[in-house]
Amino acid sequence: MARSYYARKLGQIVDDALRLCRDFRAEGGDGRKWRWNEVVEIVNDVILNVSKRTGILRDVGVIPVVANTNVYDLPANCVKVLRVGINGMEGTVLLPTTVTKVDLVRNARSATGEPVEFFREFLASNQIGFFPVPSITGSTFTRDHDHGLLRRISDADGVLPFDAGRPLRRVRGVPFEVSGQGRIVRELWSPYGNIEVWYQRNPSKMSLYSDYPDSGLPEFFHPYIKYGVALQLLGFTTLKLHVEKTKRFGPIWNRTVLGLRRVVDFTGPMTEMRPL
Amino acid sequence: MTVLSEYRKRLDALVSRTRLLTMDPSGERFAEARIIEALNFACLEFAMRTEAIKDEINIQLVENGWAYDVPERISESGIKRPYAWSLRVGYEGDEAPALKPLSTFTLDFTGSPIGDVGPSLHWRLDLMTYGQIAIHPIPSENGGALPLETGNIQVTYVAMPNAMATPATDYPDTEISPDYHEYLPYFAASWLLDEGNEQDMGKSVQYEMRWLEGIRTAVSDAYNLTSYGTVRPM
Repeated sequence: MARSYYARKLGQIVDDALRLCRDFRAEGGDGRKWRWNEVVEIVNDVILNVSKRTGILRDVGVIPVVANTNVYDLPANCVKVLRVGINGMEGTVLLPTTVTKVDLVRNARSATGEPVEFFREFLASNQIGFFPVPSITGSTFTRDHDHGLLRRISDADGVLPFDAGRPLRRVRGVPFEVSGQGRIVRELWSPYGNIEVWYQRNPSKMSLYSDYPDSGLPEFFHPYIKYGVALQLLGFTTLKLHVEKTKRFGPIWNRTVLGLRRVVDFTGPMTEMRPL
Repeated sequence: MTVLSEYRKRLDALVSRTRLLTMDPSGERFAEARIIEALNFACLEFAMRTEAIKDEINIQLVENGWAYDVPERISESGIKRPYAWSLRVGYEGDEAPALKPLSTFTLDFTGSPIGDVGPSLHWRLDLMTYGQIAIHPIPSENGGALPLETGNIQVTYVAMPNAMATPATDYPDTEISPDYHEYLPYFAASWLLDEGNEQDMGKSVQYEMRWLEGIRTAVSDAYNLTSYGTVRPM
């Protein structure tokens, strides 16, 4: 992925934050007060916090439906459910409901049929339930279909290498073409009869100096992450200078996060936009 | 006659001004590379807060393709400025009405499947990953091969500025008007002095005020360019 000038590596963010805290000694090294690993953990925490506050990281997944089973695990990187649908793009949206509501209208929870509602009440935080209980198992994956989520790509005859420099797009479900020898087989989850979940996801975690923040985080935001990290670090001390720095960095950080939130909320040209 | 471009400030002049503001005229405290980086961040913040830099890219629609990754297409072109966010989506250039913004919630509320196929009428960003645009209805056939605009969309986006590198030759991005160049060192100095002691922090706050004055002026000027009214409350 091509990076702009403004993208910051993990190591640069750590160095920037240590400089703000007046604890920078050498690039990629420990400070006198804070160790590299401690700061890296805080950088990851700050990015997770930003992604939750702004909701900028989103994804979609398919939950294969099994007959007579009404509770399923959400995708492992799901932070918050945004939209639930059935039967893919041509299908319908499932509305949220609660077990209490189902009880109050005296519906039996064991009723079966095609799901029309989903619920989270009384379930573990990583689970989702459907009502009515699915009566049939959803379709399994299909090959070379134009809709659905890309599940796997395989080289049918082993002739066409994957390192041939062909761009694979991040766009979901968009067919791509490959010319030359060989044949790429696309396997897609069939959406029919299955549940599609749109959700906020957690960011990818960084550990190496050369790692970049999750690609879903705009690069114009990268230079400001240092303020969020410094705020966390300075919160651990009571030195007068550090307290003063906290007072200064807090508003800068909040203004920047709220600006990013405006980018997330932007839906068209009439929306007010001042991102930083 | 003096033209506005004569007020442009070259990178070496901006570096010198920043050094004066950071009370480091001989460059003992902040390396030149760090000052250049701070000045580039100044240009970035200016562009993001004023939407001063906009660019357009023509994206080929493909049959059954409902989502398009704008930054990837821009990086493929190699000559466009980096993507920040989308402002407008046109259709077939000026030959057809632009697509209207819409939300998935609106589609769900009206009972329209998001997978409807037909001539594209709307674009939506909600539920999408940053940088992606969803099209509704989904195109039933491929658009013309680029650079043809027939059957394709044109995305106008707010862009990040081209970065400066060489002090003796580079200027701030051409879309940042020269009358705002004088403010850039104030941001850079504030950015760097945040690393300092109590005295530095005081100067940093002072410089940030000057920087915000520049931003406010730029936003106000841009507003005046695009409105026929005469009342300007601030």
